[in-house]
Amino acid sequence: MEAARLLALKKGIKPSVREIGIYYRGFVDNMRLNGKIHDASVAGITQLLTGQLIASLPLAWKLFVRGRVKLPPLPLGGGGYRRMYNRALAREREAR
Amino acid sequence: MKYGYYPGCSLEGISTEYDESMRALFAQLEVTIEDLPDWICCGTLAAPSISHLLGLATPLWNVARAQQTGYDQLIAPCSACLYHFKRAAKQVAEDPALRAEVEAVLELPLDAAPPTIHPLELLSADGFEARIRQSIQRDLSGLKVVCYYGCHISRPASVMQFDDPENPQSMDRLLDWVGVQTLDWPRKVDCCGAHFSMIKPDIVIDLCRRLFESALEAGADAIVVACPMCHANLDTRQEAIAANMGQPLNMPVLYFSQVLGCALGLPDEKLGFKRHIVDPVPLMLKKCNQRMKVEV
Repeated sequence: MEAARLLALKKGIKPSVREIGIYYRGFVDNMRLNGKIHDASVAGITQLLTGQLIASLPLAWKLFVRGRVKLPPLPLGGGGYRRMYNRALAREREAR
Repeated sequence: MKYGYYPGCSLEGISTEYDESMRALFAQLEVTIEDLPDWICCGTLAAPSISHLLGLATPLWNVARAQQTGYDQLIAPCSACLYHFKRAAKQVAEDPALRAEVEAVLELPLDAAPPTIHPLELLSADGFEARIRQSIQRDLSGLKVVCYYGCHISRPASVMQFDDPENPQSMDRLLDWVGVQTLDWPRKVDCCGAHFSMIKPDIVIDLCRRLFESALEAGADAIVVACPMCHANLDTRQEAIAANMGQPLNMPVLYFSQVLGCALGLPDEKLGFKRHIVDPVPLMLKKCNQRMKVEV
């Protein structure tokens, strides 16, 4: 699996299931904001972009009233991660 | 032993009750843990999908900080986080040039990185048996459960190096110590569908349906888990799974830390039972010995 993923990255092959690409991109973008993931934001954005948001609202509400969905944090914690992200991608570009 | 604690993102969100019960259990067993300072997300499968180097550096950011802080071991209750820590640590340990690359990205050394372990690995070790048995406050011998380990606690074996990869026993052993009846079933290490819950929920519903059918066939009152993603899928999707099965379903899904905590006498507010979609309190009240009722 790891080898297949590395080959796909090297060849620039995008996920054939559109939703997977949307989820991964939203996940990493959220990390770049906060360093950590705010799971409700990632879920909300993924479901909005894949047309599932309305269907998921009743469950989201049940989780919210049980304290399992928190309000999003201020996007202040991602500075260190963003610098690391840029370094990693720059090194890979240099190596190509 | 100095233990660092890496809660991971899920335990600060959808799996708050896992975090609450884990911390309460450690306190009850007098295991001192310290939150890893400045921790970040492990990156799960998303960071490696952007870049190989980023997919290694993201989990190892946390390991490098654990080394810097001087922990002997880093405890990660989320089995997905644990897998990504161990996967990355193994790859850089086997390839010095790759380690140098990752250290340059992290701007931190990785020469004495502490191992990352799951709480099951710590607590199921022989040293804890007497301590746990002596601390029992409630009789849970009427409770029948199946232990569900999911994909990553013991697999891939070459990376995780813990428990039997196909028939893990650590959670069963822990629950046996507190008198819970753990039943044999064939789906201990099946997949729950993980984050496909957000992408293709139909796949998750189908996979979880098989788990519930098997648990019911085994005669279980509840499924016990050690992974936040497995819990989220099994607890929050039960209405849709029941519709898929064509029969009512109301099976509580508990974290092992909640069951152990309950047996050791911890009160409900420290175990987070009220946060579940499928309320486990009626079952726990019914199965607890009357003179040792769950306080709710």
